[in-house]
Amino acid sequence: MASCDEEGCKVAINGKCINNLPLDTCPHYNFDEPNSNELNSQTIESDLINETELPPIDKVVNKFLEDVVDVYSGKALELYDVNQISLSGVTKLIMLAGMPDAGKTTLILSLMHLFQTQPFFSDFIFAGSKTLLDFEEKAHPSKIDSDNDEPETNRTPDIPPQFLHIKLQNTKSLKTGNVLFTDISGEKFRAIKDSTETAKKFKLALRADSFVLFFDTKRVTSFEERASSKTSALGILRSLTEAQTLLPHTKIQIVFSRWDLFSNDEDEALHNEFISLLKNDIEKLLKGNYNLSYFEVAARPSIGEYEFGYGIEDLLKAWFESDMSVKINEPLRKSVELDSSRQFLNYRFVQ
Amino acid sequence: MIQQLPKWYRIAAIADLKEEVLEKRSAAITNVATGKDYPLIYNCIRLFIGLPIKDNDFNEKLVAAIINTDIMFVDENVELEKRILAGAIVHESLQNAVVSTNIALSVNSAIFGINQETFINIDIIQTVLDYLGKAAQNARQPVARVLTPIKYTAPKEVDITDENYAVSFTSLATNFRQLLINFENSNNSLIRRLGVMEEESNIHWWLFRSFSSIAHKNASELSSIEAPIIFGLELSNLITLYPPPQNCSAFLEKMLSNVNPAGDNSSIKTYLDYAFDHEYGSELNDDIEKWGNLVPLHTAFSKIIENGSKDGWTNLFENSSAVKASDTFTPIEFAIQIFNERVLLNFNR
Repeated sequence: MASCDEEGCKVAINGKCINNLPLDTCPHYNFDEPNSNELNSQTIESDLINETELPPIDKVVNKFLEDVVDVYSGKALELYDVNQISLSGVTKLIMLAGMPDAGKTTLILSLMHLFQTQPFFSDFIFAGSKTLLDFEEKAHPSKIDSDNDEPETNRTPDIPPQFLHIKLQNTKSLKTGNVLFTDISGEKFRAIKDSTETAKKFKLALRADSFVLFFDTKRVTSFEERASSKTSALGILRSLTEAQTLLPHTKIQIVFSRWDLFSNDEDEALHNEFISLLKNDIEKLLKGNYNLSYFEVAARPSIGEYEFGYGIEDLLKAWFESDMSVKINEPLRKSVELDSSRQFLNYRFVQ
Repeated sequence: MIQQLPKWYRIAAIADLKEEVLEKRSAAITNVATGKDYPLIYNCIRLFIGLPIKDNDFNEKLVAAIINTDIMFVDENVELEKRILAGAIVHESLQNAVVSTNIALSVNSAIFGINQETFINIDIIQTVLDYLGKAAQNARQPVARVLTPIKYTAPKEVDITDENYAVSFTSLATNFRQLLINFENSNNSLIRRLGVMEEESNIHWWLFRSFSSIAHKNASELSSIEAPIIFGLELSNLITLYPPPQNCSAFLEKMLSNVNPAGDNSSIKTYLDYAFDHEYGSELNDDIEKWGNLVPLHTAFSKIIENGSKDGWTNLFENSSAVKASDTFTPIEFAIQIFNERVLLNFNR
């Protein structure tokens, strides 16, 4: 196909020479050597096309576009990319929320690791991902290859929301579905906590199937930090519910992350009491309008006897409730309310 | 723009679609729904509720019909979006007076036995069911008799001139014309009232008699396997105004209460195999070519007939249906479905 050696020339796209030269006189413009098939077809067309005539520019552009192959970068998806996935089939949007360093990214990286290291996890088989590269890059600091002394997860930068994608198949129903996890910085949630206006603009939460709010167990079980930890996370929930961007169709899952750091604490009874009070406060805030559940998770335990990914299986089951369908259906009403002046139409059989 | 479209898209669009896109889609949906390609609309019902579609070209036809109005639509890995569009087409086709009743009756029949959790935008199905309820009531409301008063005064003898005669005759003719219109309005109103009374009376007597004219037996002598089909067929034959009253399920329940023992859940195969062995089964052998799996029980029975025996028909049926022959239903559920399917078929005779 036609191309140009001149740097920055977009002749193949817009048909214009960067030096404003006629294409037949431009020294940088050239046609590739045609192969034998092309030669044959050109021979056939030679009767129709004047030899001195250049190929029409729309043909050049079309040929160029035909050769373009859409390849996924493997990086996290931007908001405008995600509809490509969600328009194709049932897609669960799992919104991971919490203050910075609460373990949001670590949880999805651990989930991915669980799928990578065994044939299936829970009732699901890994069926693909369009963000594999991003998963790998994010997981790198936690791997031996990184030469880090301890497994780490880099902080998610404060940029517009991004999404990580996994496709799963249910081993029982054999249904396949997409899962999109939000990868949103803790700073964004701090801003939401501090401003109802910001919360009102956070429309993405309206579409979330699950809203997973993280409490860092290390902070919750620290006498110095537990009050601020509670206030911050509850503030996120309050802002979003008051702004009505988090509605009852979204399941709310409270995750106590880094649960391994709790069990080794000496003041277990006191911490349990605090967590119990915290749960009460959450329930009061949500007034029984939401589907609420609690999970203890140690995604990448560093101490104790917890296995890798402790608690993730329960969370995964809660996201799907063993099914890949999106449960936002209200049940059909069995009959319409009868209201007629004719007694005949008001008849109901009562046994 | 169709008001509910952004809500229907919510399941498939994480990022909100631009208003311009939604407007184009709305226009395309309305064009298809109010158009004359009725087989396409019936296939939209199938796509929307998840039934197999026989027409291999359906996808191309649907995409072509949408692109005809909305050139921005790209058919590339958008299966869920097409299901949403199909649902919206079904919803909007309720505005298409030519097919609205058929569409509503078809949806009512086609959703039989399908797990509600697999539906998307279930409010569309609810709208269809509500539409049937309202249309049934409207069909039975008395028509207001519009009678325009007639006023004619003959010219007095002293005023008689050629000109006055002409005016008088013109007035007389106009009044006669109005009189005829009044007669016709009155007649229509009486016919409607008579139809309503006749239908009500027939159903009342059917309930009161508790006798099956198909089986030539008292209702109490029927078994719980045959009664649902027989009662469903009989009640559907008593319907003369469409759609049928929403409380027909109560009439069926009343009739089934005569059957002793009442019977538990039985599978589609059990109900239909029994019908195949008995004379009343022949009533289910109808021409359903146009409706296919929108009338699942008639489709199943047609497979038994096609197969010629009670063995081996279930696979044939399940390939074209969203329900299994082994799925079980109570006698009343089965009776209602037979009735619903029959109403659709009778309405189109």
